[in-house]
Amino acid sequence: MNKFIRRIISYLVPIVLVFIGMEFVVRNIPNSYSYKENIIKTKGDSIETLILGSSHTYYGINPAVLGMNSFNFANVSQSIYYDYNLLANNIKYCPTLKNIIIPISYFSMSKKLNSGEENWRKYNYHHYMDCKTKIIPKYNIGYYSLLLSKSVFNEFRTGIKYLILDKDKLACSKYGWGTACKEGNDCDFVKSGKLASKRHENNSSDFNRNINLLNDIINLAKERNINVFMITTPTTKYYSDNLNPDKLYKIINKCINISNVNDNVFYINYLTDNRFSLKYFYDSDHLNNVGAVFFSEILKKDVVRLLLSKKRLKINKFSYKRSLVNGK
Amino acid sequence: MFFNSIEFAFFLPIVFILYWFVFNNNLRHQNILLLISSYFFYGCWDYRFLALIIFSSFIDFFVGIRLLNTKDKKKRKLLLLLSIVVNLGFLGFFKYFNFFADSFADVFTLFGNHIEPTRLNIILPVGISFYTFQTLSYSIDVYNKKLQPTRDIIAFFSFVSFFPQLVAGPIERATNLLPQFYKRRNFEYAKAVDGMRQILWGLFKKIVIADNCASYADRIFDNSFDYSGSTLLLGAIFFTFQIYCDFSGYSDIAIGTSRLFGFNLRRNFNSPYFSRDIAEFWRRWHISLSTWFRDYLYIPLGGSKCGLLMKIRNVFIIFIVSGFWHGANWTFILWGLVNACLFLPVLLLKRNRINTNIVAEGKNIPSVYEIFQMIKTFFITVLVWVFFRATSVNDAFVFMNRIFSKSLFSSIDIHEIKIYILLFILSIFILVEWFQREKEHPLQICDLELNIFIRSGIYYTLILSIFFLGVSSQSFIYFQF
Repeated sequence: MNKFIRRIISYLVPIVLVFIGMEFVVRNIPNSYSYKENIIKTKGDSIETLILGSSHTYYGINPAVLGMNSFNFANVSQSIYYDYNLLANNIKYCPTLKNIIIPISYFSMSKKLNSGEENWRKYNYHHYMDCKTKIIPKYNIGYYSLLLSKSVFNEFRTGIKYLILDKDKLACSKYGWGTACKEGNDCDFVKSGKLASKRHENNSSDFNRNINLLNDIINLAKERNINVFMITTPTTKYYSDNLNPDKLYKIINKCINISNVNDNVFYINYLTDNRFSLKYFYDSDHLNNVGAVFFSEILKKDVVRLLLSKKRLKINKFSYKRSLVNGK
Repeated sequence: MFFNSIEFAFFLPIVFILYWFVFNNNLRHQNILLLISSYFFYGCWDYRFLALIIFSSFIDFFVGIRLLNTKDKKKRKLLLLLSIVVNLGFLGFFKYFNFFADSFADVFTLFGNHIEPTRLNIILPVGISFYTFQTLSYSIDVYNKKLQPTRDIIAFFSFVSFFPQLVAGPIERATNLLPQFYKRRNFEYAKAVDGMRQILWGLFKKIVIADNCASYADRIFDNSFDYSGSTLLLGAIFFTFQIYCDFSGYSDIAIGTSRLFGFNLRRNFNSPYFSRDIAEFWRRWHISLSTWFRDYLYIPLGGSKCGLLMKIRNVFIIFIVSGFWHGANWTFILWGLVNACLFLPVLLLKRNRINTNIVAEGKNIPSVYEIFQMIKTFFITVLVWVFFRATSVNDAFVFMNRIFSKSLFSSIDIHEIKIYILLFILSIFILVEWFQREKEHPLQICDLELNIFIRSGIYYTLILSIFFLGVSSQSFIYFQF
């Protein structure tokens, strides 16, 4: 028995050492999550506009074009749950924050917590962004180890690629904008639209949980006199036509109601904005780099217009429009 | 808790240490530890179904005791019937209720009436197909007086729930496994080391071969209309290796894990893809299930020692029931039917037992005829697996139709370097399995007298390939059965 234990230990020791080494390596691979966390903590005092949300805003809004001292804090498949938690954890680093831009879409309203094939991303928030939430319990090995939290094999290969090829996972600009959606992508928009709409469907019209989280964000912003711009980003008709129209109507209606009830909230719906032709899209529901620049310019103008009209209210006490559809 | 999960990597050493260091001096305590560990293991899947396995174990334990004390033939038959009804009743309800409800409704539709079947939202308890057959084998063997019933409730419950083979077999006979719970297990170094080697080989088969083949097989089967016949055939070949490596990999891990605790489980796969005919294939594939059906269904029905029509009937019953055991879908029944049609001529021509030894025994290179036989049997198996994998009977026929179209001779549609790497790894895998086909598993390398550096090199190569080539965790195929 002792000989067996000794043999096992002798084989396991190098493996455990490699594991520990790899754990250290993968925790330190530059990636957009750790980059954004670092920027918020070190340069948060210069951020006036924070962009939250999922890939729709991560790829869709270029802060360099948007201006307003903005920073893109969105990540792929980021849910409203993490939008709220990230904001709550990091708002103290942003004393000059004036505006929050958050996408409200079919995806964000349908996203269920702790489910879906991209569920593994919760470990990125936990380890790279120090965003510890109850959805990773302390008895889960992923709470402690990044290597063992997701696919061990994928993380291992990522670590090796980084060590040998210096291939990191940083895929955003210095302002946090995702640059992977290059123009000229040969996309079958019809197929992509059907697949994306199916992926974003959770077969439920009950999105109260996500609305509650949105209200938490709004209240957090209200306490600090921060404006919240809810936006529905542009998509192709190949995507929007495949969505459940009743549910979509409910979502948009809810957004309009929220913006009407809260002084600091505005809603802009670009879902079927025909200014965005196919040349601006990477796939059926994501803008490409050129589309992101175009959209950021439009968004800038609309945000400024809404802020000015709010300012006029304070002076003239007239009612003003707090929601726009297709820029109008 | 999958065998290839981190949780199991913590669970197994803890149980091992407690088993050999804390409770090794007391057999009963060791059995209790195995029982608790097994229930914990099973509970991690779904704790709600613990009651089911406990109840099933209790019924068969009770039946065994009563059979010992009952001489009356009628009463003995009733007791056996109780065990069969309870076990098959649970299996039938959880696995087949919705299937029968839908099929019943479909029959009505055929006659022009439409009825809405009552469907229940039933979750299939993991391992139910395996442990019910295991406990049934106990009741039947006790009834036939092949086995003395046990009065040791702990030993019996541990036998039923023994965690290495609980959720996906091998389906152990009580005559083999139960007596091992009565006698003290002594740690045997060689057995434990061999067990570890078998676990490593099983993990390699599952994580590297099966999961990588699965990623292509799933892609091709799920989008079959987009691919040529040659690609569909490649998809079927990938599935052939996926199901073999997945299931036999699990069995290897189960057998290897059992050996760590001093238990010997029966071999479940014996190089089935080197079979020379379909009868040999069924002697080498999922041995525990095929022998179960042979001993408890085929032989009681008369087997092949009866008239021609009865023989044909028995063959069809066995294969259709075997197919049905795999799942509540007409595709499995069709798969069984096709296998019966392939097996029957071999049986009727009395050629079903001509290839009983391993192919090219004692030789490294098979003869040309043997190569031809193996390739022929392999490709028949590949095509038959299409029925098993397809989601509907219609899909199966469409898939087959597209394979045998003109596009069978066109080039493959998937041009990825990964596919060529996978084919290369499969070639190495086949060679290893070939040269070690006469062993229990390919990593039985003691007789090769390799020095420690070469042996370590082999182990680390397999471990590294698991980490470099492994795919995100996919569950074992046979868990769904």
